[in-house]
Amino acid sequence: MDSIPMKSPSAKHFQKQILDDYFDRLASARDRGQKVVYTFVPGNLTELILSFDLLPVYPEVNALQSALRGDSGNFVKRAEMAGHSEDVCSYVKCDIGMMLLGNTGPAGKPLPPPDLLLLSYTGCFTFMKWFENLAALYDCPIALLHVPYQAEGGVTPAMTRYVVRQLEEEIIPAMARVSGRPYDPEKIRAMCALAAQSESLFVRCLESAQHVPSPIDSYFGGVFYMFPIFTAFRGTLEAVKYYRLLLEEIEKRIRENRTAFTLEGDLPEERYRIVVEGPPNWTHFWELWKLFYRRGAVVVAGSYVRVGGIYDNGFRHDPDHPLESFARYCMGCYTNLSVPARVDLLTRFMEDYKADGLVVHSVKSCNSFGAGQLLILKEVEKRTAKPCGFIESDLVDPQYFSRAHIKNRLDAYFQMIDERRAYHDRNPGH
Amino acid sequence: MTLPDFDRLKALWEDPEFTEVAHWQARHPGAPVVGYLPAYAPRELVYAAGGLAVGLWGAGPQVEIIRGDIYYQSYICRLPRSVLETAPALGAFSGVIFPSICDVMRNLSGMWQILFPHQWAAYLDLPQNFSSETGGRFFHETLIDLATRILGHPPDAAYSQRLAQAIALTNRQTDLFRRLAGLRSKFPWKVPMDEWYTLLRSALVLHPEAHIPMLAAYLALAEKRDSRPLDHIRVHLAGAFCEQPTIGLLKTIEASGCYIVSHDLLLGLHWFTAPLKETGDPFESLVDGYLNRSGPAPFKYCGPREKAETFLALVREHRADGVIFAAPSFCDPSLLDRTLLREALETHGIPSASFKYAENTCQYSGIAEVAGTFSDSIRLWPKES
Ligand code: SF4
Ligand code: SF4
Repeated sequence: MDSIPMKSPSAKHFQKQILDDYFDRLASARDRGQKVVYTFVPGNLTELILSFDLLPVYPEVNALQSALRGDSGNFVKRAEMAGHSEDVCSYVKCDIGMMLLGNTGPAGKPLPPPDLLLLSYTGCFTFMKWFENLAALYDCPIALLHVPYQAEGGVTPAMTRYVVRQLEEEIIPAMARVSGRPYDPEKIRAMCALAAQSESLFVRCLESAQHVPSPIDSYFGGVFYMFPIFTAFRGTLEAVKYYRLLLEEIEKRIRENRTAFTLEGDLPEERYRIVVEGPPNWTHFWELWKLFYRRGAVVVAGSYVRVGGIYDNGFRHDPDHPLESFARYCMGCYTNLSVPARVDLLTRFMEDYKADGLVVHSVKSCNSFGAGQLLILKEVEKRTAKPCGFIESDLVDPQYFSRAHIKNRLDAYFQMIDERRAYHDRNPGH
Repeated sequence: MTLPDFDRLKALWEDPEFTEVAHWQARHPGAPVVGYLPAYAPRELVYAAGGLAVGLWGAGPQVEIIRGDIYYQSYICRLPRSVLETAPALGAFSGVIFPSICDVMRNLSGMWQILFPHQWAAYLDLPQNFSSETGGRFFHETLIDLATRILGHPPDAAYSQRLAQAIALTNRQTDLFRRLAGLRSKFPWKVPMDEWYTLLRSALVLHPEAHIPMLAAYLALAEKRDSRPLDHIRVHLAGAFCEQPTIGLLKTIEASGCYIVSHDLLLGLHWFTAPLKETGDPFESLVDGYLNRSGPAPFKYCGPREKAETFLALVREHRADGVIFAAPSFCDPSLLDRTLLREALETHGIPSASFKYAENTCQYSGIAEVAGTFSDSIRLWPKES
């Protein structure tokens, strides 16, 4: 995360400070007697976890950070040596490989083993298999939250009831047992209020990309913005402070009519405004980013920054109905949406963010995103009449990244946008 | 009594045009025909509506995939491609059920909504919470919704009565499956794998009323069969609950010296370890079946200790000498289960072998080698006692 070059560094520095502090607390958790919960980013129950004075650990975040640091290839190999197939999700293998090689976290500090495995498997079945495998490696209690899928494009009262009952009967008692503390409704209430503030600020940051030129890159930059809200900080004052700082910086950029930042300073000219569907490649993250911005492309919106939860449609954690709002939050993550709902959302982004096209980045690991992406691409193309492109790689397994292949695809794609523009210039009204 | 016409039965479920289903529809005008994907769907809900439930377990190697490949990247399993390939033949179906077994299946339910808007596509969210008050209640509501879809209106008392009868009917069918599986487990040479598989798989296409008499007749004949055992080891085949290997592949395993004495092929048809309740609220009986009588499955959450114990018990119950893990390529549920189960076996000194396949895998030499070596290693070098 160090390498994010922002001219005005306060939000970035603040983020670094709170993350460093978080990893320090993790590293010393055992000594200090603080208990640790391993859980997942999509639909996470951070407020609940923190309210019991437990510390959350997110295996996907460890995996992606390992990839950014260039360690994931070894971890994946180690897991394959332990019998995991080359076919399965590389996040799982990276995490298991990291654990088998000593569980040193991405910050170079040892990660404590879990005191509770909180399997809230939203939007992905592999999570369940992942935690079954982790449960075999660690000797600790497991709590499972089954989150129903929004197959029909909405949440029914039966679905909400089901999740709330599980929270009341399984999740909260498990956290109380592990932490030795009772559920504290007042604390949760206050945390939900703070979460809602962060969520509103986060949405404003993301929506700033509707401005032309966009002051931010909502994918390559966006993945860093989403860290505090989707990991250990939502529901805290730190998160509110971070998003306030970030929003101030973004608004300043807008006032100064500045383009999005890149690894090499501000984007010289915003030539293409792109919506991206799918997670990024983490092993060659910076390289992939360059392939976009060196062509003048900025990502104005995408699905990945909504993988932990969607706030664009008005959802906020609700201090008056915390458990119901946890339920609705869990059910509302991007990958828990049906394929038609994903198409609707991306189509809306294309319009609201004045995008020139959609790029689907498909990763070999992930069926949750990947199965159906080609139909999504066709549907968005049909509905918006804008060109859609397709690139493939993986999340954290470095062997599936081919720079030349992706570059060729993107070059052809941007050329297609140019041709479309030239055609429209020649045939106004078409 | 004569043996069923296995060639005809095989042709029934291999037929990508679903001709047999069209004939059934012609004989039952207006009755709903509902497709269901792997691995388990409460087909009783369809029978109770006077309809036919048709299992869509992929089209096998005989169908060339063109349309299916347009929608899927190379690193996604083959099953959804071949289901999409044959989808035009399902035009007269009223709807399709997509059980919650993996992300591919889950997303296919939404793709179906876009591609075939004239049909309903119901996602069947099987609860992972097994308390009757919580997961059970949710599943009950899910089943009522599904019945409403099938019927076109909410279920009434008459429907509930018919549902109870449908449960009794499938109980008879699954009882015969259990007895046949038991016979095969004891005397695998009396129930050749291709016959057993063909009988099981034809239940995806035939109404139980047509299927049960055939099963009963076959069981009676098989029990009396006077065939000789071969010097084969006994294996449990695990991991093939969804996308199916070809019969050729199964025969190759056996021809290489491994009797498949138990398996999870076509799992939903023989998943319940005990009959469903035939008294009381029939919806509750289905709920109770799923919560309390279903066997293990890669798509059903299970703590590692219990998973290992249940699996070991299954292997021991069938007196299997070892386990062959056969997983569809790119199948996360099957492949991630495999690591756990293999470890459990290793801890208990039970040998295992593994391979991957796709439903169109027709080159068997590699598989013959794996199965042959596995069989030899157990037969020729038995465990030191
Ligand atoms: S399959 Fe996708 S969503 Fe699931 S764990 Fe892997 S990367 Fe995450
Ligand atoms: S073969 Fe595996 S991944 Fe494919 S649909 Fe079936 S369960 Fe899902």
